[in-house]
Amino acid sequence: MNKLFSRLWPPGVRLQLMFWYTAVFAVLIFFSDTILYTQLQTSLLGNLDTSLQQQAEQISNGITTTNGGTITIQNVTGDLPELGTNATDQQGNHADINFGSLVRILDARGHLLRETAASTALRIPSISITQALQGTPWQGNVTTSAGQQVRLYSMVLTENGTHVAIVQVGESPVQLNGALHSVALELVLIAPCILLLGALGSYWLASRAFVPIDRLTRTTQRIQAGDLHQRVPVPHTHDEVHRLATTLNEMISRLDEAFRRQRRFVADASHELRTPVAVIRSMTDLALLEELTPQEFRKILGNINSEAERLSHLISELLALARSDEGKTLLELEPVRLDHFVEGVVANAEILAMEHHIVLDVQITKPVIVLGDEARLIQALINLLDNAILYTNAGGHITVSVEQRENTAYLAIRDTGIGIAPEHIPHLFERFYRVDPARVRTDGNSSGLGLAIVEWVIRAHGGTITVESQVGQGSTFLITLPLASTKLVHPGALTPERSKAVEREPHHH
Amino acid sequence: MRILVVEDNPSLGLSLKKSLEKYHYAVDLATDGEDAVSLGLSVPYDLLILDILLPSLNGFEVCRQLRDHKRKYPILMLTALGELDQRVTGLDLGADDYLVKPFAFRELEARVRALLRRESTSKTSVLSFLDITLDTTTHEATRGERTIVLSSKEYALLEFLMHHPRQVLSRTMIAEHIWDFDAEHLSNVIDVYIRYVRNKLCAKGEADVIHTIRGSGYQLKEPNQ
Repeated sequence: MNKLFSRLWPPGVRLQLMFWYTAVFAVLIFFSDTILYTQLQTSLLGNLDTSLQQQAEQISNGITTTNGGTITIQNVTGDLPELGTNATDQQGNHADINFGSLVRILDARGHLLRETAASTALRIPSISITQALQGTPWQGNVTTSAGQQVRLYSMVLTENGTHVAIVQVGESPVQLNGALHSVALELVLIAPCILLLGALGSYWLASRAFVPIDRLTRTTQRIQAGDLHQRVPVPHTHDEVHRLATTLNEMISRLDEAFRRQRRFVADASHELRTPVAVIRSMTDLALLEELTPQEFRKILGNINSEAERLSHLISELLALARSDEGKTLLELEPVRLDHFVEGVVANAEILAMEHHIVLDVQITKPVIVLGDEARLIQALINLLDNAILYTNAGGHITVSVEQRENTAYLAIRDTGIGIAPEHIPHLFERFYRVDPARVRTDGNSSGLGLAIVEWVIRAHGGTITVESQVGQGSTFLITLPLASTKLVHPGALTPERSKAVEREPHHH
Repeated sequence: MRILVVEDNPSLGLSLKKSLEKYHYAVDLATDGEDAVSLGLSVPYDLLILDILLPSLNGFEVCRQLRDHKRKYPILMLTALGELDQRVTGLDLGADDYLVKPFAFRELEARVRALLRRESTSKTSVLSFLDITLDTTTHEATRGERTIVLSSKEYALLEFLMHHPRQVLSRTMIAEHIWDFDAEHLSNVIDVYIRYVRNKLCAKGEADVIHTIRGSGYQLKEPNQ
């Protein structure tokens, strides 16, 4: 029992659909049955009233008056034998109102002349007489002394413009009610059957609707992690299943791409890690083979030291990227004066630039404040400057400019270097991507991860980085960063951090 | 100064990290004993704050393993166990100090400063080198009569240099002591911060005391004549 319950609860989509369909059916059936029943009731009641009216008219045809005002009643319909000659004669004679005829005849003043035996039990409302005397026939429900309902029709008989008599005809609605009851019973009995069939039908329909989805599920199950070149079949119809299949395929493509990138990254990383190790091995092998002077040993140890330094730098960059991939790295956001740290970083890079005979320029017009992790932004700029210096020939120019337009800070690094061919630009920020592997070999410091880290840092700050380049003319790296909102930068937030700048540039504005 | 906080209660651990970072310490957080041992062996911390009740390995075991591997940094034990035996066990295993929970953060910070001071040559809360002084309580730096306002990272950098006067400190070494695990790889940024600190120390034309040792790193030393 519990097992069955746990299988059915919570209900699956099919069962839910079935419940909803059935609920909608139930509401529809309820409304249509109610309308049917009330329509039938109105029409049956109308028929009854018409037949009473006809009966009353037939009786009035049989009523004639003599000159003295005496009323003679002929038994027109022939089925009113009990319409006695005197009203008082029949007092106490109670015939069944359900089967006996209910006919009353009154004179123009409203005094009872004749009535059938069954009519004596009726409680006649006075309005039935007064309204009839005004010329408008009255019809309505009256009750008997036993509390039964009777439909009564009351009309005045006019002869030569004067009221002669009032004819009242009644009939019990027992038969009518009996018919209505049996109809209602049938409706109530049929409704559950329709609902049951409707539920089964809707369950079947829901099952049919999910067949394509089941097919998709089975195909997707077959696609294993290593088998990501497979795709699920996309149906020709342009419906939800089509969308689902397309979405699944897009997701598989992205996974495929991610796996491929991961494999290449691991291959590249192991290659990059192996290179310095190989250099160290070859140097130590050499040192162990031969008798060397202390100076030669020192030189070799120095080389080993710088290779080891490169290795540890590479490992920490790999770690940093891996942690950023996991989304674990937290930025220490604070208001940062972009213009000041650019000056600091550029001043720092000047020694390297001078060694390469490259001129470094800074163009800053006014202070620009962004909300950022200063150390990481500094690192990004250092990487970009190292990159620019690496790809600019002696005698070249590198210009770093900072400006602010609307809510965005722009940081541009322009060089007059060798430029980047268009086919390389989309891959520039990929890990270990190298435009010119030979050029990097000559410089021991580049890990091939610098630009990937720059891209990550800028993206983590909600900024963008783009590259424009012309081979032989130079390249421009353009960074945009959202400005720190003025609300976040309370006055004084920058003073401890940057008092040095104030000391250095007392007339900044 | 880089500190490893080993605390399995996530909210207490994070709040300790946040509070200590406000005092310019670089803080890593470990939440179980095994992590604490592996971090404690691989990173040259300046101090360890160690909870005793931990998943996988308890604080006593962490302390014993680190001391067995000749890790000499001071260890401050945090304990809810106020029992005399427990405190004695901890101290015998190589802990330098203990603090019973609940504790006031001010006291913890003061003990951290006292333990770090024990490692350095200075026995007061004020570090000094020539005419430069650094008050580790108030975080005020002065050169001669002049007060120097330092940012958090600049303070951490100058404090580390002043704890190790005349030693040649490589960029990696500096980064390992003033940055936490997330920022360790930022060693090339050290040059820029050294430049900031140097500019502030020499803003009135004073002699430069932070020497760049090419290919090795930096050294806090008397100015060249």
